[in-house]
Order: sequence, then C-alpha cells, then structure tokens
Amino acid sequence: MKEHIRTLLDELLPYVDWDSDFLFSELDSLGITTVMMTLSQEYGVELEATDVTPRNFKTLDSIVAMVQSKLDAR
Amino acid sequence: MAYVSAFSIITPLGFTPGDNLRAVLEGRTALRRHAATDSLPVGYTASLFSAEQTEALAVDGYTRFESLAIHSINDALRRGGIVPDDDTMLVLSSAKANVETLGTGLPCPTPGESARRIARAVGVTTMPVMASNACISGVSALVTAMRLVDGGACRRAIVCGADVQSRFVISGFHSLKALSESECRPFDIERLGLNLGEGAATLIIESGAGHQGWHLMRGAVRNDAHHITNPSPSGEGCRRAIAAAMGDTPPDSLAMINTHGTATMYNDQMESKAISLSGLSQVPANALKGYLGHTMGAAGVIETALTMLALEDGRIPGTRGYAERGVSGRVDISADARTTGKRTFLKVISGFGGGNAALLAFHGEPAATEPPARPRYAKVGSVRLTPGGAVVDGTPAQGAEPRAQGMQMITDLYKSLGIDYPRYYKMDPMARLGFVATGLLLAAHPEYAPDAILLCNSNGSLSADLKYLQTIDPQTGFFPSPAHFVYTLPNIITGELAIQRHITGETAFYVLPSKDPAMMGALLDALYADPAAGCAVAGWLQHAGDNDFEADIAIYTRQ
Repeated sequence: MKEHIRTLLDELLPYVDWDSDFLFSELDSLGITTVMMTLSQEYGVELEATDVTPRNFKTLDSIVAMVQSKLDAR
Repeated sequence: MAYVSAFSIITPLGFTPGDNLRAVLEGRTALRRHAATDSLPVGYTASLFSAEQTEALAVDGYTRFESLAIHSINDALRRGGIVPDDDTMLVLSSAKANVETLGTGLPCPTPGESARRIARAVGVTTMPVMASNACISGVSALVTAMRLVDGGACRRAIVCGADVQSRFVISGFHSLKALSESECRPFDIERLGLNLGEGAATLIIESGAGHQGWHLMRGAVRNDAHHITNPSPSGEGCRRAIAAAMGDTPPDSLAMINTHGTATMYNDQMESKAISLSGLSQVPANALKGYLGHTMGAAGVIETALTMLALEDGRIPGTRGYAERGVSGRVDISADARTTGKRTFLKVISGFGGGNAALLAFHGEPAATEPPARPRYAKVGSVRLTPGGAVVDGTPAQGAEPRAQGMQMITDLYKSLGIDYPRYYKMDPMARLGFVATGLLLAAHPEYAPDAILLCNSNGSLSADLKYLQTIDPQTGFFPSPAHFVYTLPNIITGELAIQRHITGETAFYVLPSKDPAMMGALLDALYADPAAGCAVAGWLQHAGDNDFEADIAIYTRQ
C-alpha cells in the first residue's frame, strides 16, 4: 500500500520528497488538498479537514496509517 | 530609548493586567465553543466577551470596537496618571475595526473616522494613525511608535491594539479553512488551526533617559515576498525580522521568545524554522493563543504587555494546548509555566500579506545613547491616478492612452504596461490601483528597485469589505468567498507588490482620518529609521468606488 500511494502521489506532486520526516513542511495547502482528494477517491474513504494534522502528514508512513485507519473503521 | 510608562489589558479573561496574568498563569482559557446560528451557519471556538462584559465596556455613542479601545486607553492613562498633551500621539492597531456593523444599518465609521473619534474621546488632540497590517498590526504599531518617540516626532505615544469578532471575520477565516473547531494547540502535532479572539491592550511609551522599567530596544518588519496568505516555508522573512530586532544581542540574554503560535499548520512550522535558523532553539518560547485566541490587530500589543507583566514576576507563561512537538524546527516550548531571572524578551509575529515583525524589549535602565539622527531621503519620482487620468512625474502618463474612465482606465493602463501578471485580474480594485500606480512609477524610473513599501488611506479596504459582505448575505445565501475575504485586509496590496517586485524589507499600511502630509511624512521618517530601508514606494492609496479613487504614490531613496 505504501509504495502504491507513493507512486500515485509522486505522479501528481513530483517535487515533494516523500521520504521527508516532516512531510507537511513540503506541502502547501493545494498539495494537502491533492493528497486528500487523491487518496479519498483511490481508497473510497472519507478524509476530512479534521484529519489534516501534522501527525497524519508527518511522513509517508503517517499518511498510510491514516488511510489504513479509515479503511479499518469502515 | 523609548520606555513603557503604563499599560492596560482587557480581554474576556479579565479587565485588568493582573486578572489576565493570573488567568494565564493558572492555565485558564477564555475559549468557548459557539454553536451555528441562522446568520452564521458554522460552529466555531473563540474567545469572545460575554453579554455582561460587552455591556460593561459599552460607551454611549460609540461602536463596540471604539468602546473597547476607549476603555483600554483610558485605563492605561489612569494607571500611569497621564493626561495626553499636544506632544502625545495615538497609534492604534486593528485588523477590522468596525466591520461588524457594515451593512447592518448601525453606525459603521470608516477606520480613519474611528481613529479620530477614539482620539477625541480620550483627549488626544494630534492626528491619530491606525496600523492595518493584518495579524502583525500590533507589533508594527509598537515598532512605529517606538521610532516616532525615539526620532522626536512626539514625546509620548499611546499604542492601542483592539479588535472585536463578527460573522464577517469568522466566516472569512472559516472560508480559508484556518479555524480549528476545538481549542487551538500551538506547535503541537495534533494542531488543527486557530481560534479567533476579542480584546485590547494599550502600551504608553515615552522618551526620556534614566528610567527604570520596560524599554523597547529595537524592532523590525520584513516581508516574505512569497504568498499573500501562506507564510514562506523557509521562514526567511521571519528570520530576517528576528535578526534585525536582535542586532548583536547575545541569545543567552533572552528570557524567552513570545511567538505568534497561531496553531495553523503553516505558521507554527514556519516560525519554528525561523527561530531555529536564528540560533534561538535553546531560548524558552511560548504562545498565548490557547488562552485568548487570535485577537488579530490586538494580538501583538496584548501579548507584548502580558509577557512584560509575566517577566516582572519572573515567570514564563506556558503554552496551553501544547503536548508534543509538531514542527520541524527546534523550539523550546513547554505546556507549563517556567521561571526565569532574565528580563529581556523577543516578540515575534507573522501574518497575511507576507508580513513578519519582531520586537526586542528589556527591563532595567539602559545605557545612555545619542538620539538617532533624522533619516535623510529624497523623492525621486511620483505618480497620481484618479478617475480623471494618470500623471507621472507631473506630466500625463507616457505611452498610455486610456480610452475609458474610472477603473476601466486602470485596466487599460495595466495592459499598456506590458506586465504579464495574471493575478492582476484576481485583485480587488484597490490592489489593482496600487499595482498599476506602482507599475507606472517604476516603468518611469527603472533604475530604482524598491525594498520597502508604506501606503496610507482613510477607509481601509471598504470596497473589498462590501464585496465580501455580499457573499455572506443571509437573504441571498451564505457562500463566503476566500478570494474576496483576503482583500478585506488593506495590506494585501503591499504583499502583492512585495511578491511581484521581490520587496523583502518593511511593508506597511496605515489608516489616517484624512490625507495628512505631515503625518505621512512622520511615518516615512519612521520607516527610514530602519537602517535597511533604502528605496521606498510610499503614498496614498484609496478606493471608495469605481469613479472615486486616488493613488498618489512616490518613490524615495535614502541620501
């Protein structure tokens, strides 16, 4: 799942370092929205404004964990 | 060196400095959850005055904003035993002044009128000024007042920051998705955004040697030249403001840094980088938004006053809402209050329009210094745009043959400039006017590259305010437009120009009761008190309607 998300997002946001320890510092608000919309559609989960915390966007692993927790909660 | 002779703080936590300090040190907050209503169909968390507090603050014949400012100023005057004289200036600071009554049928004086009304109510006879630089207004007002006092423009300056909240402002920040539904958590890994707040504070600063107490040492304003709402991810503008305010002050002499700490994803991240890049990671830092919310134009003054009070007690207030570091820069934040024996601190603040400001203050008796020499600068070019036409350096604009009148003429002039800047068409009319006026000026004087901007008017962002108001009209629907809301901060034009021209020095917007050359000259002197100011674009920029506007702007260089 992590590699699939990396490929998906890297295609849309090629200048982002997806291995960053503070990923959110590399994303602007449009970048965050792109991540949210892309993953919502790809995995059929609802990602909301309250999900946009530094914890959920700290690393690629954090983003994967956020999506996984939404899938688990379905 | 300017010293602080008196201050007051009025917030929902209390009406006295002591009440506010006690509440903050005890960890109490004024933030409350407010439910959606018919006229404001979004719930939010904010620090607002209660109905009883609002009634207690009301001054007959004045708006809620004016009443709050009048109470704050009068309380500071009373505490200092001070009566304003003809050598006393009033420097107000507000992001949105009376906007809550705009379009309601209730009295809604323009910010310039309001400044005059407040001045008269508190006995100030000189021309007042209101800093309107979005979130950094409070610190920019303190920096300007400090320079006016140090430079001899007046012996005493009353600096009052005040703002009240309204559906106008709350819906605007909501449309920008900047608000947290729960209590804000500055610098925390779970932070979700800011909470708004109401309040006022006044600092009275005076010139004079040999005074024991709080002194304003140095301050600076620097622009990111990056984006009109987002802070620069590099933190560079904030870092440069900090460097200019610190001068050669050793970091270990600082008791603390009072940060802006709004708890938005980007502000706190940017500030952490700026503090880290400044070599100040080891200095205790805090943010006060978890107690009082973001009080906008009042924040810089309230938080500076509270920090002074706390340090007099040897205390560094904790950061309510903080638990785990959620920023990449190293910042020494603590949820709990700490103790210190030091009495020097740095106030840092950033905001929309790309502005960053920093102010260094210390408690004690400073070494005697010579008063600064009056800065010398000269006007080297000018432009005047009115519905009747465009005049550059005293002659009708060359190469521009506008076919239309009014704002269509401005767009015709924009096209004639040959500047490829698509954002022009997204700007509000006042920003377009400033953009074209500056474009004409610098096209006539390509040898100058401005590094600072100072603009003034009397009605703030009235045209943009009315436009945004239409998007939250309960009769026709509630679709608050973030694109319109950003331009309801008058200083956005300074941010637009900073981005287009890469202007990274001081950028400032002031509101005056009228176009007063003497006051505008004093403000320009204050701008040039910043040693980094070399070439400034400065003047008057007002839009009251498509056939009622004036840009009267000049370019200056230091001699």
